[in-house]
Amino acid sequence: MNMPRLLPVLCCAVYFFLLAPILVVVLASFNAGAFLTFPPQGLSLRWYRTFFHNAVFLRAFIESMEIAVAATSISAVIGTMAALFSMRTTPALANIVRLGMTLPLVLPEVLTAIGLLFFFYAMGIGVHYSVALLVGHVLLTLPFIYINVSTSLRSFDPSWELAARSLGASPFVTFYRVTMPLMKSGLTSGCLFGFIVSFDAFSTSFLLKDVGTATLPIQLFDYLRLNFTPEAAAVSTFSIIVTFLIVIMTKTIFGIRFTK
Amino acid sequence: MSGLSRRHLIAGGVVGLTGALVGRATRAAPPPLVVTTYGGSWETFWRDDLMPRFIARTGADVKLDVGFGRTFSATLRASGPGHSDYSILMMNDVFVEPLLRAGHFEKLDFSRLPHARQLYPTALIENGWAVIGMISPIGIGYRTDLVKNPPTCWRDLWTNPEFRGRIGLYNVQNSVGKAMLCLAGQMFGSGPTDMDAAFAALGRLGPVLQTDFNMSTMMGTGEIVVSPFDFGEIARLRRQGLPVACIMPREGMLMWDQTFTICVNAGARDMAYRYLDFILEPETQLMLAQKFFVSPVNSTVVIPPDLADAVPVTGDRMKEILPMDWHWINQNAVELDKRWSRTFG
Repeated sequence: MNMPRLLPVLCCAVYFFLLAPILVVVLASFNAGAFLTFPPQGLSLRWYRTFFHNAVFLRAFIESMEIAVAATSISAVIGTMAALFSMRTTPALANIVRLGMTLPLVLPEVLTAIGLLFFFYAMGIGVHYSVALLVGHVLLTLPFIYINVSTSLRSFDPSWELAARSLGASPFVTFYRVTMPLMKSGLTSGCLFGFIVSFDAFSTSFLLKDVGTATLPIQLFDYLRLNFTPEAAAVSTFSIIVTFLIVIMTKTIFGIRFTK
Repeated sequence: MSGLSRRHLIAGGVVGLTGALVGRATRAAPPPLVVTTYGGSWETFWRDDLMPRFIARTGADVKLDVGFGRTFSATLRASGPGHSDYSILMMNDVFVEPLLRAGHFEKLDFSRLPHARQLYPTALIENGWAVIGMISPIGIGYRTDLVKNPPTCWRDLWTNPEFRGRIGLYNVQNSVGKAMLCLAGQMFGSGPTDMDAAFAALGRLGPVLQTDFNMSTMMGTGEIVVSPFDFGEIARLRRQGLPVACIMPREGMLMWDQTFTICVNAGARDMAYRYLDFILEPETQLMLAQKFFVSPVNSTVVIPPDLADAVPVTGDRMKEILPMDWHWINQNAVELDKRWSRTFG
């Protein structure tokens, strides 16, 4: 058996099985019929038109974007500080920090969300002002940023910062000119992962959303419980396109190099 | 005082002022009326038609939350009785019953609900702690193009050979799945709680396709040709061109109820009563029937002829809806869940 020749076929098969469901959703969104079926019954953009006139979905999309941007920004600051601290402290303390920062990945998302829900009500805050929702999303995104930044700082030599300081650079300039460029790729890819995870998060949003608000996954779920039109596929396709565009923009602006 | 700089003073001042303003705003603003509905077309209807009508009449400050029984139950349990963000809730009685026993809702003051006097007895439930605002009666839906001998009763699911392997069922997570168990216990055993007979009977149905809530897609694709179906959904499918029909079985019908409850210590409590009465009044009931093909619970509502095929269950037919003991069902939910899994693998 010639493995090198089989490898591309296997790769294609894996990609096909991973991407086929997405392809089905995208094709179903162009369905001219009234039901969410595959193959589509004729081709049409009618469900995209319906979606762009549906204020409920557009509001949910904006809510998702706001929460994802806010949670990723907060996590970027906390995750970066934690990664820098882990690099500079003793190995024992670094392990404790690492465990704490990655704990949300170990616990099932729904358990974290239930815990937060009861915690915030016990604190008297409840789900008001989307505080609980934001904290939940920060917890979701934090491990991705911490792990990526930590990884990019693995080969970091603290003497480089010392050299900059000894040449007269202030702490801020040292961070901006020496540390930041070295961890840029880790921070950017961590933020990208964090944003996508937050944007798609269901369980956390489901339990912690403020009264009267909804993120896009929740809105889609509520919609699909009682409505089975291809509008849901159109919303999903739009969401996939937006995520894809964000990845491309990030790659272009921050120059992430994906390993070949 | 050397540590207290001008910057500290300004920052402290800004925080204090903001806190004072927020606190003042919070104290001054009366709580909004928080009502609930479901997603999709329900939310659109509530936002575009129902709420503007109610607001125009009452001037209420209304906040609409979208979800369903499981979401609302989780939030209510986390907040605890008397601390809910909701004023009035709409969900199925299967979710209402345990929350009611946990003290989340107040006993309804019917003197504030003049239209409650016009309700069918079926809509007056839980000893006055809740009322049903809409009913989706459930009969047997089938594909008219794929079924030669249409069903006439629930027993036909077991006896008609052309249904074998093409039956759809709501699973036990859905209240209709649970109700179906009680119905099978009633038909094949000593009563609605005879679960030995019920599960044995469901096992005899052979392979069935199950769903938590979406039966329409399977019916649309022809994977199933017969299943418990609500008349409104059948009417919608028929208007979209699908050859389907729904019958009222001899043994009685099941239902999805939209039950309304008012929370203990509800914000905007007076407005919550006005909202509930607004839901129960004939004009609103007719609007809901026209939009969702639900059976009105107000007995004075006259269904117009063009709606009669979509909303066939009214008047005396409402008595054919079988009552369910949701308390017993909820008490035994875990066991029912296990046995359902064992029966259907």
